[in-house]
Amino acid sequence: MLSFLIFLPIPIMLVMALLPGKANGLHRWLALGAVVGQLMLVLGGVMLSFWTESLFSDPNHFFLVEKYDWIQADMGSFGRLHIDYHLGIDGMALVLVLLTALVNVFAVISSWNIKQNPRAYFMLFLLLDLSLFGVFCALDFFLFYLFFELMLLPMFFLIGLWGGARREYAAIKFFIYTLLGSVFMLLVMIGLSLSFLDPVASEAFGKSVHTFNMRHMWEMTENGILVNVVSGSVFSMEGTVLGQNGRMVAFVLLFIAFAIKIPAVPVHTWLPDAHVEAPTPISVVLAGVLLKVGGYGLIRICYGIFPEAMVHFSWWIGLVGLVSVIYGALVAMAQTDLKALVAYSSVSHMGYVLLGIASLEVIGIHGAIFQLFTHGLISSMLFLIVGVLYDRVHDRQIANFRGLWSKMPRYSFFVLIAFFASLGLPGFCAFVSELMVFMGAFTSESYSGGIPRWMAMAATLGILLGAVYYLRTYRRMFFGRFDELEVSASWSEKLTDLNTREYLLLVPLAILIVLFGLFPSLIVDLIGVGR
Amino acid sequence: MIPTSFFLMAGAVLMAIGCFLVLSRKNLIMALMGIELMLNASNLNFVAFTRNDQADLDGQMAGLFIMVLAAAEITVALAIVLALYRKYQSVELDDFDQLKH
Amino acid sequence: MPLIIGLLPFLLLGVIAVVGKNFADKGGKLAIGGLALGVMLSSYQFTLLGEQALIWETSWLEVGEINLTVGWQVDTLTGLMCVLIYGISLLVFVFSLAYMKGDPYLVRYWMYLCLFVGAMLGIVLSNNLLQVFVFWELVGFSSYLLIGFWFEKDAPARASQQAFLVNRVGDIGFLLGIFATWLLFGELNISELGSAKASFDRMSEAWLPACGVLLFLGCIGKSAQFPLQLWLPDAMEGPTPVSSLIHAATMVAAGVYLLARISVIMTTEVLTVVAVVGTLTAFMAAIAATVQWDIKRVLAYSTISQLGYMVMGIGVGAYEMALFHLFTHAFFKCALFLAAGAVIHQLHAAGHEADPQDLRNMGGLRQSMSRTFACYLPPALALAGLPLLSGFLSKDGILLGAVDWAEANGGMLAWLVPMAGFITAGLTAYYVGRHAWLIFGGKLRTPAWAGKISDAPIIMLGPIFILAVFSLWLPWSWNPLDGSSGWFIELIGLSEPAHSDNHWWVGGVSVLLSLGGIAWASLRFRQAAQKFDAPQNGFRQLAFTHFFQKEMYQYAFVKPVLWVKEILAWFDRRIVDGVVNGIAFITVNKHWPYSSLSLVAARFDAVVIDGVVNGIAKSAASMGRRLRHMQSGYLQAYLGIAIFVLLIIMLIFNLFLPNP
Repeated sequence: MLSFLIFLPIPIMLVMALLPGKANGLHRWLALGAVVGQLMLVLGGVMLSFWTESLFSDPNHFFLVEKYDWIQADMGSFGRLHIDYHLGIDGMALVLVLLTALVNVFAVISSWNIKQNPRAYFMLFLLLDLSLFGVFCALDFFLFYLFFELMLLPMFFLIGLWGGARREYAAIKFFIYTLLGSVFMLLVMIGLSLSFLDPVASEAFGKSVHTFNMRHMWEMTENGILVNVVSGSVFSMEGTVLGQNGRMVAFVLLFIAFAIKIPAVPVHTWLPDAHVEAPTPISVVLAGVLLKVGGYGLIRICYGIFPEAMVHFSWWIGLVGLVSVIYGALVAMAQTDLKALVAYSSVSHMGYVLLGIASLEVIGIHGAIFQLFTHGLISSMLFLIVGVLYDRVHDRQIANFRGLWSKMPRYSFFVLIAFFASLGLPGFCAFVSELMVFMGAFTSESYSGGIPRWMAMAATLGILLGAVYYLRTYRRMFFGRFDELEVSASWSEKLTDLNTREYLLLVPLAILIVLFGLFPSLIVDLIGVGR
Repeated sequence: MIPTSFFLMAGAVLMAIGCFLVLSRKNLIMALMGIELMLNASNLNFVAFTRNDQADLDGQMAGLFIMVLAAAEITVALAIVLALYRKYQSVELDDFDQLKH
Repeated sequence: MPLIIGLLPFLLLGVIAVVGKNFADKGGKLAIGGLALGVMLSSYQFTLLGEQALIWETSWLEVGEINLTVGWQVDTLTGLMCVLIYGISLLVFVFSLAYMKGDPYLVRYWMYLCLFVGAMLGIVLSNNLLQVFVFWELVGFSSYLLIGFWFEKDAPARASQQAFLVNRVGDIGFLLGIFATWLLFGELNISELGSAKASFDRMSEAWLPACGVLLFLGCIGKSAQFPLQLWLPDAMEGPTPVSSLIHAATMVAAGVYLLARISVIMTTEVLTVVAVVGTLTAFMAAIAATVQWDIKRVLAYSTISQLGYMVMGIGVGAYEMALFHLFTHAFFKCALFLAAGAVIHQLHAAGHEADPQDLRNMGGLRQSMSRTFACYLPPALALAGLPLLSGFLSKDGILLGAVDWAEANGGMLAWLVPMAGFITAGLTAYYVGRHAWLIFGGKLRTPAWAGKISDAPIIMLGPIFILAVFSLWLPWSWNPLDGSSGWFIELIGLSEPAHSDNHWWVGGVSVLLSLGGIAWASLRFRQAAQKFDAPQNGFRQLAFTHFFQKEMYQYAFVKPVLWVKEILAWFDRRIVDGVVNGIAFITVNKHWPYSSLSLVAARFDAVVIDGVVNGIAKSAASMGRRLRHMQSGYLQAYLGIAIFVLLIIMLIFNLFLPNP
């Protein structure tokens, strides 16, 4: 099932490749077919079988598992190296798979009017889509890394070829930043495979079989003793690297890799550039799904494999989260470009994810995952909203718009929803996730001792600052008289209200945002299942 | 039986000669021949080491592989030399200094 | 039943959103019909209530051991609040029908109002603090929308933004207070807070008062108490019916309502803080109200002042009286605002020659708007606190509570609270008198309007009249001099009111002060036929700007934040990103970061940073100059270097790495 889900775009990409480049918009229909097919598959197939499996079998493991031998190498006296093709999801991954499926549909619809080489565009897009699903489903570290890297390639070209004025700069910056993280991850991955053995295969072959299987890596006894570790290796409890505890070093390296992806201050600067230069649909995927890989990896890999290092570093992670929240919000306030503002608000909101994870509380981590989901929906909507304006007048400067409410009332209504959802108004889903994060962070000191209470209290400043920059922007762009500014008045002809395609994007998003705000348990109940 | 180190020494000498050719000759063809010599030097090492691995004969496999590779390589390289000759009317290496300008 | 009552406004909102634009009044009558139904339903619900409260709850979100619930809890007080909210909303909606007639965005107006009513009902019906918080914020949101309803003008847009932000400061405190409550008491359920016992396993003892103060912060924001009261006067930029419903009668009272509900978990110190804040607010706002020139701003400051009374009442332990004052105030202040709205509406209709909200332009409307005047008078006197009116009953009760509290606590400082309360009572009477004289007394000060002013239409006067009737003593208590024997106190009686000996002198003094205030006002303003050139002395300036609160906050908070954000944005662009780009520059070695750095140097005296960055750039450049000779372009040179380096690496490996 999962393989089918992941590789569904491949045949469609092949068909696209065979079609002539100017096939009258056939490419976009094919792409739409692929992503809608995936969405259907997630809703009808994956979720259903996930549900039945969780009913009829032990709920504490992964579901829809597929495991095949993939690469097996004999390394002589060193033992054997096994890389499995190993897929499977638990509740957390399912939530993000669902998010990916949803956001990609919106992204394809919003790329309807791509004029420049649609064939290449949609093929790259489907490649991106494939790798995103792959990242969330992979249970083998090698496979995860492969998909993680694969994400980079289409993203680089999508920004670099279809982007705005400074697209090359942004694309290269994005690429180098992420590659830096990948290098760290690669180092840790190799070390991990040297330190961990596959118990079953080792018995079968009669020699030590090194594995990339993450499930073997995080297997622990009740007392926190690793089951499958090679004693004395780098990432065993006693292992050292450069005189430091190897696991702590590995954790920090992995944390940097994922913090770049999240992105956390101070490694966030690729994000505003990438967003500002990327075309709207790519911004949507970037903010909606790509950033979530960072949070997902942090929980699944950092916390999964190095839980004791997470406990050790939780104070610092909490601090990074707190700084991201407040710094992101303050810098967002100073932006003059609407898209840059939204990008920095992403930095701010992803800070809550770090805070929730660092709290080490059940509710905090659930909140962090739910925050990934809600931020995915809301930031998608925000970027679509920016796209609406940019499509019409090719300008995004906040100061150039005034009184849009009287000119585009329906659009303004959706902007109102998106802004207030993003600033955490109750009734919208971001409120629930932020609430959970705050609850976790606030109670952390009393229970798990992850982060001190003052961090939670300081982080609440973020929701105030969030309100400040959204309200200021809303007042400056939507309030006031339309003809007050010459610039915006000269666009009177161009600034028409939403068209059908834009309704198709914004209405479902708004409904989802409200739905999960009123009934968060629809998603939150899923998170806890499995693993 | 001849000790393995003799083969290795022969390989090292071949390698050094090849290296010298590649670095010193201005004629492209000569440089190519130097590359061939270096390939063969490594080939000799591979085959020599097979003596320690009588069961699998991995080294001989590698040797065969390198020979095939060398054949393919020289074909391509000669084609390139021809193309260069057409462009510059020369096979002197120092004439190809476009990187500098 | 409570579910229907709570959801009805949201249902109306949906219906109006869909079909509203097809009607001439854009769905106004539809909304009024719905609200009338709501009044009936909530009255019916009220009759059903016995001793036992209606309680229902269900799980909303379950994570680990934490189970958040949603539900309602309807006791007598809640039932009464529902009737009050529906009733006053109905009247205000009817009034709006005339007041807002012809506004281009009327559909939106009805929708926002319905949203507000629903959220307000949510606050009173909720049974746990978190759910209260949800509706608390939603009320703030609808208030934001309504204050900024005339969004094309700058002032409402700014006022709405300010209101939301200031409220959010309070809300954050409230949220943290909720978390603290949850950790201390293991309980968020309002009805069970009273019996819950604080445990200090999870939080230190110091958090108990802190928790109280944090929760109180929420009330400070919503009920416009010191130090967050600055948003309320500016909120008057919204349509007048909105000011009357939200910013006088219901929403701002929510803080007081909540405070009364949670006061069981507040410690004595916190209650003292509450009392002092309430007193300070009441006193400051009363002073500010005496010098305002805007017809609505006088009432706004008066609202703050009266809310201060209520908060003070809770602080001194007179919950029943504070809630009683909440109810009576809701009626008379709503009536005053609607009357002011009627005046503004009629003056607006008379011509655009002068600002219809400026008291200096009015005068003598007693003759031309006699019926409005008749409806205005009872609530105005109730606000002033004269006997035979509702305001006297409740305010008297609060003052009495304050006196008793001061007596019990002893000490001179404790007496400051009732003292300030009394002075405020006098000031209240003074500014009410001034308000009344300036509008209705004397002669009209704008000649252009002469003869063009007509009385308000019946559809406006009806609601005001009904509200005015409730400003009399009779609907509340048989005894016109003692509120504590009325039905209201008996109904909600949280505790048996102790009968105090101070009752008579307290009542007497407050009546005397009120009469004095009115007399003083009438002396000063009865002959006010001339234009007022306000003498700009220090006190007047201080009072007019409400002790320069806004300016102070501007310098203390707003400016620094705006300043910090610019610095951080610069920091982000130039330093954080600059490091990244700097690395890129050095590797590419093509452009020098001089151009961008000159900007930095011009803007900030960052000599050190400059020097360091330039130094790095220079050393990189000089290294590049030396190394460029290696780029000969000769293939063999490159190859030679490669082989040379390879040899060195092999050498290093051989030397430093042990043989396997």
